[in-house]
Amino acid sequence: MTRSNRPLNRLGLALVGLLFMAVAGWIGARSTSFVALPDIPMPDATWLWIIAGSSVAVIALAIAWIVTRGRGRARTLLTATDDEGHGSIEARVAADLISDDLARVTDIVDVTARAFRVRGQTVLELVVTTRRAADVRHVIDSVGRAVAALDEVLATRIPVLLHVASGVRATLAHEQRVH
Amino acid sequence: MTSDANTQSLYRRLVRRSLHRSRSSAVIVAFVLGSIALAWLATECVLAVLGAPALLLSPASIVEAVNAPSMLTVAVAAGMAVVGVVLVALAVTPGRRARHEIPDARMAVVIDDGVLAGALSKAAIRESRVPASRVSTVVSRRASSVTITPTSGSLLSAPSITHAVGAVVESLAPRPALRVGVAVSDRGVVGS
Repeated sequence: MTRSNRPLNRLGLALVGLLFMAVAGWIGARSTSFVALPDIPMPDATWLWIIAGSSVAVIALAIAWIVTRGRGRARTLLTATDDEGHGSIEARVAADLISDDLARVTDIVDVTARAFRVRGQTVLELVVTTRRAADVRHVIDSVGRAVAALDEVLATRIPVLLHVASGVRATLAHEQRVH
Repeated sequence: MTSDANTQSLYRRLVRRSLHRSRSSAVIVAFVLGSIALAWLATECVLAVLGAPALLLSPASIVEAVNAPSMLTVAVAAGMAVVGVVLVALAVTPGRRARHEIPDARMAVVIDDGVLAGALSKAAIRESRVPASRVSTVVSRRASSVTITPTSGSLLSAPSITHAVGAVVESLAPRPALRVGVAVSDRGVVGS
């Protein structure tokens, strides 16, 4: 659950796509005689520098765009201040607490936890990988109990996003059977 | 401490973002490829100004190729048109992921359709007592269908299996809602 600007992603894809279609359309029109498009003049030295310079500028913009994807991860889940000072809990600690609680649920293969900053709040994202034919209701209820235990430890209710996932490990794990 | 309404609207946002792709990977691929092409174009321009030999095509021959397109140029243009249409389609389509939301009082919950299918299969296996390998389930956005191949000579009651699968769907209440379809194949298989 990153903070990537999604409308901006759509806009970027649409712009690049439309540019490609426009160039293809121009060449297509030049190859037929239905539409009369002007010749592109031979570029002189000034124009070549302008093209090279603006290409570099666009590349810089693209790199800036790419490195700003996937932001919003947080290491600290909770910070509390009282008379005696400052305390903080890392997301990893919460992940360990939840994983320990869920260790006995056989349908769960793996638990990972990450913290994200969304709208100024820290959200705990839990990804629970299950076996192939899992009792999903039981899995969700178990996670709910583990989160309730976490609420008690932290003495507050952190927003939680649970993602019940099927992963490669789930496909490889054998189904538990009772004969 | 946040108010309840605040958390609810935060959860709606989290679920909405989980059910749709961010398109970040598509953007990264498109921009990296575009940047490589632009870097090449810029290099060719600088080489042409300096009078050095071109790497692949000089700017003059690019302009010539566009002004009087050969078959090869038209083929390249067709390729660009296809890529352009794909990119615009990626930008315009909803980009839904194969996931459902499960309502929960404390958490925002999303579940991969594959896991949901596994849960429905499990219910069908329990009810029909057929080996797991002969039950398959497909979950799409609004419908699920369970296919069972019975053991030869045994009778399976489709309504009771539908009931069992429906009970699981009801207990999870996925959003968007799922219709349940159970199909028992006419032909059985010999063996346990």
